[in-house]
Amino acid sequence: MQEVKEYKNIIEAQGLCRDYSVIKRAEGESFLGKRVHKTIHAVNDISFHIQKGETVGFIGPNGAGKSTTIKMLVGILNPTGGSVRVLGREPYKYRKQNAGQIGVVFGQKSQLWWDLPVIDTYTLLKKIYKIPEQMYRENLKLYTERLQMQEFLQQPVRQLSLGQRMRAELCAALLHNPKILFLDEPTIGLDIVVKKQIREMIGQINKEREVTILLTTHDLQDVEEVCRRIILINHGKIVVDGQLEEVRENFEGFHSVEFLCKVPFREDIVLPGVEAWVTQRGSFTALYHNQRILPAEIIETVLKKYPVEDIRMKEPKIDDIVEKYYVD
Amino acid sequence: MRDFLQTYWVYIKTFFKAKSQYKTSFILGMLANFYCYFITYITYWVLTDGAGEIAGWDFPDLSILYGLSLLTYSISGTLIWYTAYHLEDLIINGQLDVMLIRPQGLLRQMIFQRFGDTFLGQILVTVIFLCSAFALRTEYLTGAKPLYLLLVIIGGVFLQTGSMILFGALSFWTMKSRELIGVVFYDLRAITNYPLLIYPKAVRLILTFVLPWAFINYYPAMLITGKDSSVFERILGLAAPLVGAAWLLFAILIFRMGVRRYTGAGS
Repeated sequence: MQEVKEYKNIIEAQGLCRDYSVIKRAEGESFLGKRVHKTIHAVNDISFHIQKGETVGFIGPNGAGKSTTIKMLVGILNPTGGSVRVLGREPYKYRKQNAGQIGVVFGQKSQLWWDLPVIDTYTLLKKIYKIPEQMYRENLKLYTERLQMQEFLQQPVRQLSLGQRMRAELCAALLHNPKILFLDEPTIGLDIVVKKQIREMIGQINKEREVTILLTTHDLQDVEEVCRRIILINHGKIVVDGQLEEVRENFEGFHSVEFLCKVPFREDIVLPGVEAWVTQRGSFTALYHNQRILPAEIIETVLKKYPVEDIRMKEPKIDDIVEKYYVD
Repeated sequence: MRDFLQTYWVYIKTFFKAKSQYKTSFILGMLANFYCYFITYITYWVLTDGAGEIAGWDFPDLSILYGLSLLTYSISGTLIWYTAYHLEDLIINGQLDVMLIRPQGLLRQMIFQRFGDTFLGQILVTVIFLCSAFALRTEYLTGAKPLYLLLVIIGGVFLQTGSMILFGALSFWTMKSRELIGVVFYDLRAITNYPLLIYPKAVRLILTFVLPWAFINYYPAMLITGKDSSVFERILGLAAPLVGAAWLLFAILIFRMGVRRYTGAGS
């Protein structure tokens, strides 16, 4: 298929804003009391570009503006300021055209028909998305095998477990070969096995079909396993945007090296860049800034003074990074 | 249009396939609806004492009057009643968002989403009484009247469907639209179950020019049964299909405004 327009970025947001107007009544005021309009900036001037084939984790605390942003990208919500283009078009102006090119999985909402067997929902989706017969058959076969769905394909959706249902949702979002896959908390409430299955599937379609992935989640393991890039939002603004590895490396603090040693720590080592020593039973840990001191230097110094049995290095976990920004 | 009908057919087939798991509930629902509306017809029979009249309308005439209203209502009901009446719930539980991420118009999806199977019982009962009435009064179907009847039914379906869309669309502005639907649509429309002549003139004016429910059945039935007494009434009767089309268009416009409000372009 030929692209209608040329575009460099598959998703482009420039100064994107979304305000909500809420009505507030003063405390104790009656029903007829004066109404005060208050504007909430759910998304406040955010800009980012996403290229084809990227895997982006959209993270942020509850109410940070993640869902609002996703809604603007899929065409459910109009921006109140700035611009957004998905596949070269404004999604809110071309909702239907946009919808045919993207796949969306909402962890909290279902696009399957409750009373119908899973396979019947797919028949309807084939009709809705006008999927060619052969493409439909190939995709159905491929995805149902990979997600191990054969056993419950004929069962009504209402009888499925959450894990089965989410696999069915993911398959439903992929049947029409979307160019971008939006996943809004796809692993919420799932057990570890299904989580893994879903993450692997997302990774595979990204690699094999160059599907661009945009994922929001509170499970940072999802991000670590699926995404190469993270965009962290808080209070409607982008706080961090970068490759996961870079973000991790540039993150100051919380790198640590632990020494297993029978001799207790005597607090006799002072090194610039080492923030603190934490003493535990049978071990002690140096917390350091990776930009100010090399771990080799700490290890060398400690080895000179203590009979160390083992050394454990710990990189900052993405959780630590995120926690820091959430609290700020 | 062809695509629409084809897709709709696939949905209906799928719907009945799913329904077949609840055969008893399906049949009971049909029976309940059949019974409920059957009783209404019996009421007319009792009121007219079999052979008597209400304001010049005898039992077959009243069957046509009520039949036009019920038939068009239940046809619209199979199309969009369920999703329109429950639009508020679709907004609250986020199902509307799911519909908005599909490459299809929203109204189209609302029609597809749920086939109003319970209305089949009403269609059945009203077709029985309409057919019997016309069988007793074959003079009502002479000349161009069958064509007029067809147009009036289509116009009525437009009016009823338009009203369902319109009242559903209120959910975009207020979350408590059902009470309003109850009064404005059901209660006021029930007035047209009887010849409007028995009511004060103000009622007739309101149901003609404010909420055009009288165009669903009253003016058309007047023309069909030859009760029109003035040119004005004849014009209103002939205009009924057009009023239906205009009302539907108006409803779609309001609905679109509502969707824009929901997505945030309109407010």
